[in-house]
Amino acid sequence: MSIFGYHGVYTTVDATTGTSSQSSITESTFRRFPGGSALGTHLLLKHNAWQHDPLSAESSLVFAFSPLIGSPLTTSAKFAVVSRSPLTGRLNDSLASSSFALAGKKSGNDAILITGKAESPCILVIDDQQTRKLPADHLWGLSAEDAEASLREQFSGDHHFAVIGSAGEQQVAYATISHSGRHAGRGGSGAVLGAKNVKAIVVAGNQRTQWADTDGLVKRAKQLSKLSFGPATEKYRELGTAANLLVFNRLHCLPTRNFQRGSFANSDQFSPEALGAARDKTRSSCAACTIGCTHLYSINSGTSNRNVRIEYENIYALGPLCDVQDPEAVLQASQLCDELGIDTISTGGTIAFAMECVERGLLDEPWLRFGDGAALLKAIHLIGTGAGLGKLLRLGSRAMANIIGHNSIAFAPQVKGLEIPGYEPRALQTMALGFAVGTRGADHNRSGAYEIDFSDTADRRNGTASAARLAVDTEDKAAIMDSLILCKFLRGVFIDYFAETAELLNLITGWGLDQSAMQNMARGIIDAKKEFNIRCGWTPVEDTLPQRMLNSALQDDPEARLDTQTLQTMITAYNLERGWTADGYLDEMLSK
Amino acid sequence: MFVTIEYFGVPRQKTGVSSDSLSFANSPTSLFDVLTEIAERHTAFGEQCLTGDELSRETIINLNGDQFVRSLDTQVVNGDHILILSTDAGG
Ligand code: SF4
Repeated sequence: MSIFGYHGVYTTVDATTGTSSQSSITESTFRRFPGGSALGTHLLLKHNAWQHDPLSAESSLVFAFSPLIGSPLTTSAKFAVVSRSPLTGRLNDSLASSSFALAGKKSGNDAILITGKAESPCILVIDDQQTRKLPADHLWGLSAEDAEASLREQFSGDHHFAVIGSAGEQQVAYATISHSGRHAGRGGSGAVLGAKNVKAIVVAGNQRTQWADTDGLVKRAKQLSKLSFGPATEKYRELGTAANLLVFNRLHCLPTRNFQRGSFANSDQFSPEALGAARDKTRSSCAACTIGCTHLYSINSGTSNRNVRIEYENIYALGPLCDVQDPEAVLQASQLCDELGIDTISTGGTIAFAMECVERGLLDEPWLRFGDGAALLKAIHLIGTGAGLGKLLRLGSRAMANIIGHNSIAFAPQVKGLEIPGYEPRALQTMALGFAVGTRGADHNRSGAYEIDFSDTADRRNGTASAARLAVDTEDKAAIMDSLILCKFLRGVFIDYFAETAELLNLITGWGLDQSAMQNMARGIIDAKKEFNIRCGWTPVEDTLPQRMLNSALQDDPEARLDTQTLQTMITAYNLERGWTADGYLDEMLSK
Repeated sequence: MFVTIEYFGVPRQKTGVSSDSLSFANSPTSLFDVLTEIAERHTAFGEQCLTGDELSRETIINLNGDQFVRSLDTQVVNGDHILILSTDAGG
């Protein structure tokens, strides 16, 4: 019997042989793990993926779709890529939107699991015909964008592609998977695919799912689309996330010079208004999105005539974090990251760390100085080639620090190996908690705890145990958003979040869920992610921040001070709020 | 007394200025009075800033770069800086 919103199956493709098999997924599983990050985590647990080196042939990588994909709900054309991360060794779930999500679901699957390792470069095709492995020697070495263009000529217009760039082929620890200019960016899923010699996943199909209440769904979709034109999403539409920069700078929570400072001298030059005044600007949207937050800017120098997509996070990581004050260099750096297929946050974080190592005499690379845009570009090129310092940089800041020694780990800007996004933990202490306990490491997409810091419910520079409950709530909301899947930029239109997301899921599935069922679902999803990490070898000492942030106040804001005891108090409160042991273990493992 | 208003993001776009310096006869003055004055100066922003007697969901206010406030009874004193931000700080 079919399940509304689902095909009820996932396909496992073995890259070694090119063969595939289908397995069913029951409704009771979907009720706990409805799609996206949740479903991907569940399948990894089921396949014992924690046992394997993420870059080994035995590792698994899941493309997980969702019940909302293909529906008229705005921003629902999203998918998750879930695997064990080569950067962190822990769970990694990256999300992105594009027609790949729509075509992947129409291939008749709720998820596609890739395992094995091809002998030579290949693409894996999952469509209405038999799943097949095709040679891809002609694509190897191309950027994701060029490879996608070539695939578009090879396949019909119905096929869509998730592709790695040269960084993924070379297993750079923070390589991305790209599709139509969007990226499943964090944690190195591109390297996992590259280690399997898989250049691209190609999907197409004509299989649709049924919805429980089509009329109700269409009506609600119209309402949501209307709301998405309203004030709750105006910042994203009008300015893009780059608008954060001036605010964060003003509040001294814009990490600068590898987290040595919380404000940046040239921030005005990076505002959307200043960037737009000096160059051409265009705007675009992901597939099936009525918000359209993507702001692209032309690059005035260099050879490329492509506009580059600018977000707060790539400006932050390649600009202030490296103290590079020239917007043109930052735009070029961002474009280069996209061409190679590497995560901008980890790239900027790792280079900023290396710059500080040079400053402290721990690395003999005198050309790599804070503030030097040309050095930033050279370092990114080296990550691409793996030559010289590139060999170290492509490992990420934690692994680099472990090689360099001299307690440089104290200022490596990472949690669990994942470089920290642009939120200074000492100035945003609920977010500090969110970073410390995050299952994929320091992450602003899995924990929205900064929202608490930016509200009157917490004192942002004085973290307390009582903030833990609020941090849990933002994490639970993100878990639902990432599993239904909807874009986080839509979240502001919901007044009664869990009740409204329950309603959306009910319109698709007919399950009759209520607010508390959604909250329980969220808790179960976070538990499953934690279980995966525990099975990978997680221990409580991983839930922390770099020593720098626990030893000293922020240089330019002495009131922004966080100590180990305060952080530990918040972490313990968080663990208890989740129903775990005080040090963060699950009382019992779910998947047993 | 004088109060400095700093606008960021959409509020800056709507007001067309990055800051205002406003004077008030009484010190302290309530945040409500300050926002009412701003709404009169910048009507496009004013329509969005207040919902009746409440701060709209879309408006975030910070006092002097320190504490975020929502209560319109918050007292503002001479020399204060009121930061008005776009909704949704992150992204
Ligand atoms: S709001 Fe932005 S990121 Fe979200 S779906 Fe739309 S275009 Fe994509």
